[in-house]
Formats: sequence, structure tokens, C-alpha cells
Amino acid sequence: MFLEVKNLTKKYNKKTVVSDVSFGVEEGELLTILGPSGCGKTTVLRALGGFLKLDKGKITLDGVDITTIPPEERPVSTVFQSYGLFPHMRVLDNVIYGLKFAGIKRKDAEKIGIEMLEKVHLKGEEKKLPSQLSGGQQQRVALARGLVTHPKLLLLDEPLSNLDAKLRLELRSEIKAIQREFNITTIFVTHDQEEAFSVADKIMLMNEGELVQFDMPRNLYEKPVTKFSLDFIGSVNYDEENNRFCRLEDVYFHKDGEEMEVLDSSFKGQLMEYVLLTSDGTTIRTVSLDKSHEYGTGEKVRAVVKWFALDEMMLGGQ
Amino acid sequence: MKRVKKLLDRLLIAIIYITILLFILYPFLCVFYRALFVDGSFNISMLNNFLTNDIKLLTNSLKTAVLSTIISTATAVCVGVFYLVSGRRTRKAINLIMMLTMISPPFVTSLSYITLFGRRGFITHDILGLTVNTYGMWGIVLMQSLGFISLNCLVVTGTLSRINSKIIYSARDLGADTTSVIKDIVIPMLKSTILIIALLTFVRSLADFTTPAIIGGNFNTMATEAYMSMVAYGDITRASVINVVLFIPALLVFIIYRKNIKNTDMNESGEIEEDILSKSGILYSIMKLVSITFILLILLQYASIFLSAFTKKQMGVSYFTLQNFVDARAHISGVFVRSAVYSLISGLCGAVLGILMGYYLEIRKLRFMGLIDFVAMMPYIIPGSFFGIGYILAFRGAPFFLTGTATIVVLNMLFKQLPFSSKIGIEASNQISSETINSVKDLGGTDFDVIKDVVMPMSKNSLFVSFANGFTATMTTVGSIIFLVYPGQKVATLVMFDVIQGGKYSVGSVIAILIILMTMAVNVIFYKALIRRNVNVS
Repeated sequence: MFLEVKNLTKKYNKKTVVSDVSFGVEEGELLTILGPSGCGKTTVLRALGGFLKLDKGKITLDGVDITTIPPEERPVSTVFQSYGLFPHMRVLDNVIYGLKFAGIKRKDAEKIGIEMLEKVHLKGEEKKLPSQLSGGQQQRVALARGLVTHPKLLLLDEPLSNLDAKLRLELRSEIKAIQREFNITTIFVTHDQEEAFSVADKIMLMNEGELVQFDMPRNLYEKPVTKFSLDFIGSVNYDEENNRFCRLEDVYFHKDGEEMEVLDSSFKGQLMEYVLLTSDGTTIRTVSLDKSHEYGTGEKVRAVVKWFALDEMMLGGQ
Repeated sequence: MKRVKKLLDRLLIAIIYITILLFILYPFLCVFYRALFVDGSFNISMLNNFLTNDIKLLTNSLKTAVLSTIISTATAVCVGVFYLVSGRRTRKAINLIMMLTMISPPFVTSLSYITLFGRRGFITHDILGLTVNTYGMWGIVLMQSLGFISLNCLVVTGTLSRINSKIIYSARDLGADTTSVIKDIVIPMLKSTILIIALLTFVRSLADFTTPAIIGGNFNTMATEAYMSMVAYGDITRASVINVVLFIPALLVFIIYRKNIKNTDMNESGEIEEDILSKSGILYSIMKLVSITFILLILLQYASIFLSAFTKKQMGVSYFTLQNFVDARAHISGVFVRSAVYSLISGLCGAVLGILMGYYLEIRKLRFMGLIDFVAMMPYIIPGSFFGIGYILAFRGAPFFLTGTATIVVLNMLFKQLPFSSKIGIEASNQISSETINSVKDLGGTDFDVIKDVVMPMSKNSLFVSFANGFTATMTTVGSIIFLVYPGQKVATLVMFDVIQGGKYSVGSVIAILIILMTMAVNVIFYKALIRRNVNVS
């Protein structure tokens, strides 16, 4: 394992914010730490960056124990949620700031900086001040600045949270592409499940300071190990009475299916979402890409449901 | 009823316009008139005379101001950085000490200087066994620097707390050690602030006459000369001329200040995160050394005043006694009550006036309010004595006849702190959303109801802050009222000044302590009241 974290524990004023978290990341892998607000994911990131004193735990990067090394000496770069750009320095100076501590002369640093800016599609913006850039551009500058020192580990703390939906999608794929190109070990923190799934090689799901599940995205979705995992990832239909669940896409319309009544239908643009009432009184939701058949409220339909037993799922997975 | 309310609203507007023009602009113009007009026609001969004969006064003033500015500004930056890097307890200590200097009379420093370094000073005479003349320019510079440091530090730490901590983290993350962070990030981001405090210090130094008067010895500045002209020679014309000359650099400074204040965010300051930088590196060590030196000097000052108040010397030996307090009684009967009453009135009225101004300017966007706002800022830039002389010239004749009354003193104090209270008022009004205001109208209220039911109640916190500041300022002021107060009407600070001039340093120390205690008490009461309201102080 390129990065190894063992028993990471952090308390603030008697409250345990991160509890005994252990995981590993291979070189060149992109790990997403996913979880609701307050689950401890940002704390883990700060610990990796060196901005916290740990109560317990050990961090090893490329064979070196970096647990007590201060941030200025760690081969780790962090891109903060608010980017942390130096407002009084021009874009190029921001990007090459870290290079002067690596002993690189100004002229060479500027060359490297300009190349990096091209890579993040910011060619020509070298002389601007951060305040003159858009949110998306600022994010790219922060990314360029973090990458230019060739760190062993890149940490991204909710880098896309401040951007609008379309920009998020755009930058998401750019970040993934850059990460692949540089083959840099990356940890990406987010609370957005869809975002996590699109970029991650592996996902670490956290809740209330604990590591809930660590797996590839597909396994996380298909084999959740706890009810929390099930709830947090994707949408779920519960049948508490019969102790079973199914995902929205496990319900589909078919002439051989059981009879149900449509309680509500909503047009979501890309698909239709329906709320159905089964014959034994359970309410379930489903989605349909088939817009040629739109069912209205009160209509009687036939649908097949693939249920999974709750207990069975909890035993499965890792 | 609506008619009455509309009338009240217009009345308020009229009051604001009239009072500000009458009690700020008019006295200001009177001084100019006196200095630049002879027998009704424009004549700069007096000005010329002064500049040719007394140019040394001007250079003395400028020399002192420049030196004080450099020392005070540099130290404030050092203390600011020291504060940034320190833990919670150290920060608290620094805050307390700075607060202490802010609620003290301005010449506490001079008093302690004499006590420590005077002819019979504790350090020079008792410890070092010297009997030297330590009065002069450097004493003034040192004492002014110490005196101005607290406000400068406050501004610096305010700016530092607004720096996004992630910026500093990013710098460290990229490899910067503490020295680099201070050099590359903190100080460049303080550029605007440094300029502002330098300008403020420069103006305050020019206007300061008590420090040179007490410890200047033969070194005369413009400010002391203006004071002497009035008090010793009764030459109000000369005093006016000097003040006009003093006004010119002040105005220049103010213009530059206004330009830069727009670039800096002077809003609420928050808490700086702890452990943001490691306590390492040469630059930090130097700054820490400077900070601690100055903080110790400040503490030394107060210790000396304390000692001076509680000891007396007999046959060269000091012993503890309360005799000084007894001696002081003769000087201060009724004085503190008078000071407190003046301070209460000017504090309260100033605060209310400030809120009203804020409302009419920001929410109603009244037509000439911009001009009024500018005029309201004037007392900030002109020296205190300028303002005092202006009041004498403006109100001693018909139809006012206010000289020698308590009214003129209170009015002077009230309008002297209008720059601060109006700024607080403007910020208070800015924080009230237009939707809230519109709701009043939407439900049938008039503008007057907006003031009564929304603006005033929602500005309670700002009122407190304005009041506390006004009270403190009035309790510790000297400059503008020194010519307005007649014997039999003395206020505490003037008694203290007199007593020091008369050589009764111990009694002066007693009065200083009492002033500090009284001011501290009021500030603490109001601070607690604010906390109970669960409020952020802007």
C-alpha cells in the first residue's frame, strides 16, 4: 500500500470526531471519502495534510512514517474547499509558490507554472489576480498549485461544492483526467454520492466518525453492509413488515407483474418517477426511462419487484 | 396620527441637518475665519508670519510624528503577528492589556514616564542614582508610541482575523515555514492596514499636546504652542493659525485614508484559529521579542502609576500609604460625578444620533446625507484643540453665550465622537434587511414607525457599543475641552492634568486610577449586558 492509515483517532473536547479509522490506498489510485456532514471525512483529510495532532494512529506514505511531520515538510498537497488562493498574488505566482521551497529558480519555476496552467486550461491567465477569475477558474488554479510540486499525495476537500451543477460535471471529469495523467495518488472528499461514484476507484463511506464500508463503487451499491450504507447510497424502497428492500430500478413495468395503483407521477426531465401502491398496501417508488408510456395518477398498472431480504444483505459484502 | 408621525420624521431630519452643520461645520469654519481673515478680508499674513518665524515648531511636530508613526506601526505589526501565532491564554492577556490602555487617559504614559524616568524617577534616580534631564523629543516619541499602540494593535488583529486560515494552511502545505508565511503572506496582506494605522498615528501625534506639555521640556510642538497661546497669552488668533496649519497634513492624511479604507474590509472581526503557525524562525523570534518588550513597558507604566498612587517618600524612603488618596479628595470633590454625568449624556445622545444618521443615510438614502456624513467625520481628523477653540469662537457671542457653561462641554464631547457613532449607526442600518423595513410600510406603518419599531430595537447592540465608546472617550478626553471648562466646572481629566503640571504626581496617579476604574466599570457592565443579549459586537 502506498498510503497506509492505521487506527486514526481524533477527539475535540471529549467528543470523538474520528474513531479508529484504518485504510490503505494504492499508488495512483483515487479514493473518495464519502459521508454526510459531520461524519469526520474532513478531519481525516486534515490529519493526512498534517494540520492536526492525532490522539492515536499512524500514517505511512511511500514507506515513510509521516504522522508527526508538519505540513510544510510533508510531500502532500491539499486543495481546500475555499481554494485558499493568495489574494495578493497573481495567478502564476500562486501556482509556483511551492516551487521556491523546492529550491527551483524563479525563471524555471515560471516555465513550469505556465506549462501547468496550460494543462488545466488556463493558458493566458497568468497575470490575473484571483479575484478576477470565476469560481471554476480559481479551482483550477488551486489544483495547478497543488500539483506543480509533484506531491506524493493529493488531497481534495470538497473541491466542487462551491460551483454550480454544470461546472461541477465539467470539472469533475477534468480532475479525473488530470489525476490519471499524472498518476497521482489522490483522496477526494465529498458528501455527494453521485460525484463520488463518478470519480472514484474506491470509496470509503464514513458516518459519525467511523469507517462504515470501504469498497469499489459497484460493491458499495449492490452489497451494502449496513442500513446506513443502504440509505446513503442511491434510493431505496423499504418493506419493513416483510423485512425486505429494493432499489428503484428493481421495480419495472411488465404485463406479468402484480397489480398496483399509481399514486403520483412526476416528470423529472430525463425520466419519469412514479409512486406506486402495491396490493398489500406498501408504497414504493420507481423510475422509468420509457416516456412513450406515461402513467397518470389513479391508473392501474402491472409491475415486477425484485425484493432483497434486509438481513441477507447485511451479512453480505465486506 | 399619521400626520404627527410624518411631522416627527421631518423634525428628526431637520434636527440632524441643523445640529451637525451648527455644531461641527460652523465651529470649524470659525477657526479658519479667525486665522485667515483680518477685518473681514482674506489675509494670509498671519499664516505667513507663523510659517516664517515659527517653522521650527512645525518641524518639531513633524519629526515627532514621523518617529512615533514608524515605531508604533512596526510594533503593532509585531504584536499582531505574535498574537496570531500565540495560544488562547496569551491572546487573552494581550487583549486585556490593550484594553487597559484604551480606557486610560491619554497622558497616563507621560505620568508614568515622569515617575520612572523623571528627575526623581524610580529608575533614573532611585535605581541608577542619576539626576538627569530626560525630557525631550525621544521621551515624547517613546511615550506616544506606547500610547497609540493599543488602537493600532486592535486594527491589525482585526485584519488578521479576517484572513482565511486556509490561505495560511495552503502556504504551509506548499512548503512555507513560519518566516516565509509571515514574509510572503501575512505582511503583504497587511499592507493596507499598515498604511491606515500609520496615517492614524501620524495625525494623533500631531494633535497630541499633553505628552509634550508634560515631558517635552524645552521641546515645543505645534500642539503645545497652540495650547500655550490660549492658556498663557490668551491669543486665540495665534492658536487658530497654528491649528489651521496643523489641519493641512491632517486633511492630506484623511484623503489617503478614505481611499484605502474602501479597499479594506472593516467589518466584524472573528476569531483567529489557533495553532495556525508554528512558533519557529528568526522573524517570529524578533517579533516576539519586540512585542514582549513593549507589553512589559506598558505593564511597567501601570505598575509605576499604581506604586506612585500608593506610596509616599520620606527622607528618600518610600512607604505604602493611602495619604495620596486623602490629598486627592480636595481636588476631586464633585469632579467625578460631573465627569460621569457629562460622559453619560454625551455617550447616550451620541449613540442615538449615530443610529439615526445611519438610518437616514443608508435606509432612506436622503439627499444631502452624504455631505452630512462627511461633515460628521470631520472631528475625527482635526486636532482636539482645534475643535475646542472652534467652539469658543462659535458660541461665545450672540445668540449662544455658551462659554463657561456645562452645555458647551457636553455638546463638544457629543459631536467629537460622532464620527465613531455615525459609522456604527451606518453599519447597524446596513444589517437590517430592506425586507424587514418594507414589511412595516406594507402593514401600514410610516417612516417614523420604521425608526421606532424596527431600526432602534434592532440596533440595540450598536447603541451599546456606541455608548460604551462615547462614555470612555468623554471620560478620558482632554484636548477639545481644555479651553471650554471653567474653574468650578472641572472634569476629572483636566484636574489630573493640572495636578501633574503642578508637580503633584502621586495625586495625579490617584486620579488616573480612579478614571480607569470608573471607565472600566462602565465598559464591563455594558460588555456583560451585551453578552447576555447573546450578540456579536461589530
